[in-house]
Amino acid sequence: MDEPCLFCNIANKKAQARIVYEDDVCIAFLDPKPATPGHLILIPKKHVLIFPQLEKDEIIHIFATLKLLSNSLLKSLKLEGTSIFIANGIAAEQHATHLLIHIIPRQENDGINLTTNKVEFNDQEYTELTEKLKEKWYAMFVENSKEQ
Amino acid sequence: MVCNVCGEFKGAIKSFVVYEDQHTAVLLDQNGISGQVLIAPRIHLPILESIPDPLLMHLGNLTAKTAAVVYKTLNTDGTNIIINNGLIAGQKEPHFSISIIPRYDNDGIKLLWQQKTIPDNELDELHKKITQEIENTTKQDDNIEKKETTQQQTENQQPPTPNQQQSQPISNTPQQPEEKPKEDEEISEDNYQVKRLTRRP
Repeated sequence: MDEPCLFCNIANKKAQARIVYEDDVCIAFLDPKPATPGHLILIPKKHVLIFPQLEKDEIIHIFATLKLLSNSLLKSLKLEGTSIFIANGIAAEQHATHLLIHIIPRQENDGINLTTNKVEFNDQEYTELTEKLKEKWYAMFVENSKEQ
Repeated sequence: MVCNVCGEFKGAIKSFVVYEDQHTAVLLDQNGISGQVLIAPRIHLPILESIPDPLLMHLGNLTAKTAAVVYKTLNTDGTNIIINNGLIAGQKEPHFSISIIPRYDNDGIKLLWQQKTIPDNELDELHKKITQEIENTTKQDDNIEKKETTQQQTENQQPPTPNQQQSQPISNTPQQPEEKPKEDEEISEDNYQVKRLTRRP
């Protein structure tokens, strides 16, 4: 048998959580160990590990839900900001085997840092990097769409 | 406040464009680490709440594609997708964007937060407050949708006979004047949010 996934259990109501929103595709609940009060976790009900594994219509649905949840946090908790955080892979500090999308209420000087520090590069390095990314983009998405 | 993202789109600042279309672009983030990119709408929209739904859906799709491209091109061990919404949340420019950060094993970057313990009764209270707000917002959205459909229907319809008018549900004419001010309220509330979230810390 497969290992039981805590988050699948929350989606199936086999595990308890303080659910704030639910529909056919996704479910959102309060993080019991929050970064700040009101910290929400949004998960797809379907078991996927990382964000790019979601289908196109699921991604669209989840983005619309993120806007709803962020907006509701801003209003109900009178915030001046929210952060949305997704980790794809252990190297990116992912600890669960189910895709989690964190929506974190932010306050001034809350001690949370979700930004990277600027690293200086010259134009040539940037240009080379851009070309590499563009080439891969073309190979992965533009050529594929032509075939279809 | 000067917006550097708009500056990049207008050509005032040198930009490195990975992908672009009519409404959006994927740019190298010149304020980040190597390979970090941002996905942004071309039009100056400050926060998530100001993005119209169709544009947001397009941005969502681009996010998944961009994360996959970064992962494959740079042979990363993972990626982070981050939206800092509001200047106090660490948003570096007053222009909405989604960041994709390439990650490697033991890269020394720490983005996680300290987990706090909150008493159950406080969690329950937060739960109630947030659920209530979400319910209110979804109801409002439903009402707007319904109103739009009713309006469209009325436009398409021939003028109703007196008989039909009587059988119309209450939702049609009498409520409209009452709902009008609510809409205005909502617009000003959104503006208020933009003001709050783009306030310099």
